[in-house]
Amino acid sequence: MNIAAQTINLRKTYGSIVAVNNLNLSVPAGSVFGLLGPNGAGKSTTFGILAGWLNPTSGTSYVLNTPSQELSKLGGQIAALPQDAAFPPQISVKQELTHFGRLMGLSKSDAWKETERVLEAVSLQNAATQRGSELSHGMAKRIGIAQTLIGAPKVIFLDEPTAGLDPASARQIKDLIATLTPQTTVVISSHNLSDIEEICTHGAILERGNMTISGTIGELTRQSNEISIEVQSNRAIPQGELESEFGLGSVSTSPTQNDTLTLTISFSNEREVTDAIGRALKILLDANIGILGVQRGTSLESAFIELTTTESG
Amino acid sequence: MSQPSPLSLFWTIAKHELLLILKTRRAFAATGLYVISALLGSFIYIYSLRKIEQALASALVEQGSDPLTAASTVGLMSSEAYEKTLSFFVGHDLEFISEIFRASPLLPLCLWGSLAFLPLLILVTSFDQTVNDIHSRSICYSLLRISRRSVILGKVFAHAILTMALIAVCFALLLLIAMYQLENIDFSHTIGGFVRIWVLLLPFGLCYISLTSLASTLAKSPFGALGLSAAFFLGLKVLSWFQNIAPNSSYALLRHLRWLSPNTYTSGLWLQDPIEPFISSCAYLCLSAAFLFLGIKHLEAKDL
Repeated sequence: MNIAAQTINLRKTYGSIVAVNNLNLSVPAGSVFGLLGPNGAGKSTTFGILAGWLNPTSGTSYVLNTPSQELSKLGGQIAALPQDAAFPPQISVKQELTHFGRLMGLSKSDAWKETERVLEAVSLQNAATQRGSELSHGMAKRIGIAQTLIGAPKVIFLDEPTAGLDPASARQIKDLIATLTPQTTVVISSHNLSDIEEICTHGAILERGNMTISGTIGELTRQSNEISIEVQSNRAIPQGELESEFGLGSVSTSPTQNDTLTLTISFSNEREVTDAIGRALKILLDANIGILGVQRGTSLESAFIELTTTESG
Repeated sequence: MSQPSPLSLFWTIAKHELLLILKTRRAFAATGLYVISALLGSFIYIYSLRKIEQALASALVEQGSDPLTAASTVGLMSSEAYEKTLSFFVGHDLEFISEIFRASPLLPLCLWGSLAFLPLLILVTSFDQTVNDIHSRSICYSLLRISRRSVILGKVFAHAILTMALIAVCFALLLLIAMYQLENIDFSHTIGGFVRIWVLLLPFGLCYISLTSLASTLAKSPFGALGLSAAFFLGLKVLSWFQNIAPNSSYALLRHLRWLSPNTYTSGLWLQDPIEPFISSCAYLCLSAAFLFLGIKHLEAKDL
């Protein structure tokens, strides 16, 4: 597996507060990687260190095999959307974005063309002549994303890319991110778990500066070793039969609403999920249990809450 | 896509910075104020000199002297008074002062005014050169494309261009006023003098721009950068006064601190011996390099 970004024993402290604690993180090349965690988990710090804005207390971080503090040497192969960064209020968006292109070695005409291209990508061609002070929060965010696309970088860091955007704009940004891979690796830090689940291929959950879990989104949501089945609760669940099929202690139930239960089946050994779903449904149907719905794994939100609550507890 | 050369990169950063400065009303107001003050000061100075000379000549004529002799006497008196004043301000005997300043009453005023007020202009126009970008975090957009060192050097380059362009414009206007007010001005001599002063002010201005750059990286807010720059300017001025500590005093060691102050090297700019202005210019460049080095190191270690 090619690694686009990596942290090795990364630690960052602010006085006595440990923001990131010996973090070892690997971002596969060509992935859309989600960095998740509750407030204060160390996401923004990790993000800032990877982008070279923050200096680690100890440990190292690399992007495209280059130390984060030397990313400018890559001449714009890395781009980032920082959180809460403003554009200069005095000059137009087009002037600013063209300047970024010029910094990357583009000729004046190429930088202009590139600016037009990236503004079109976020549907803000009409905002080209607006000054930084005239941009709404959502527009500034989209222009911030547009500037990450200048020169087609190999790695893009996006801090809360859809925060503050209306649903249509958020949809557009998510579609845009999907078009970037696999040529570009995208690292996203976000609180919006449904967005992460929708657009990310990989992710990591941080909790109090430590990594709780890392892997593909499928692994995070246990899509290959867990199924949830919503059933009517007016008949007895054939728990013994299910456990003999899937393993002792593999079945748990939790009431969902009136007269309904969620049956969660975890596999103790690797098996085909479709096969497992079929076998479980057969056992339930044979017991005349009414099936209301089936889901592979759990939602990222459930996994996130479960993991972060467990850690906190 | 090829990486731009360092010079081309500095020029790109400088052009962008100049665009931002020119779009800022504060810079316009400060430069306008500077030019108006310089013009008004020189106008009053020349006007006062002429009035004094006329009054003296009239007094001599009333006492029975013929007008030609009176004019000649006034010329000698004013020349002597001027030379003594010049010697007093520079702090050296007249024979050591550059001939170019001894021959023209306008050029010393320009150099003296520039040495006194240029740091103030730089303070007002350049104090927020880096801190603004850090405060608004807009620097984060640039830092994956260029190094922190390039940011500082590019901005200092821009402010140096601005300052030197401003001085050139100011001198051109002063020359026009001098031509209008002084009948017997030596045009080529005065232009040569202005060029010499302009060249001397280049390292002097760069030193103060670098100092504001350092303050701008150390401060947490634009207002803080203004205060810190002013404190640096004042602190270094105070250090220059340490040369007055008696060599046999128990504090005599502190006398050496004066070499850290840009003010210590201003007198060298006036002198005839070319090595003296050269040494002063080198001292300014060394101080600039030290301030820039500290600023770059601090910015590189700073969390943004």
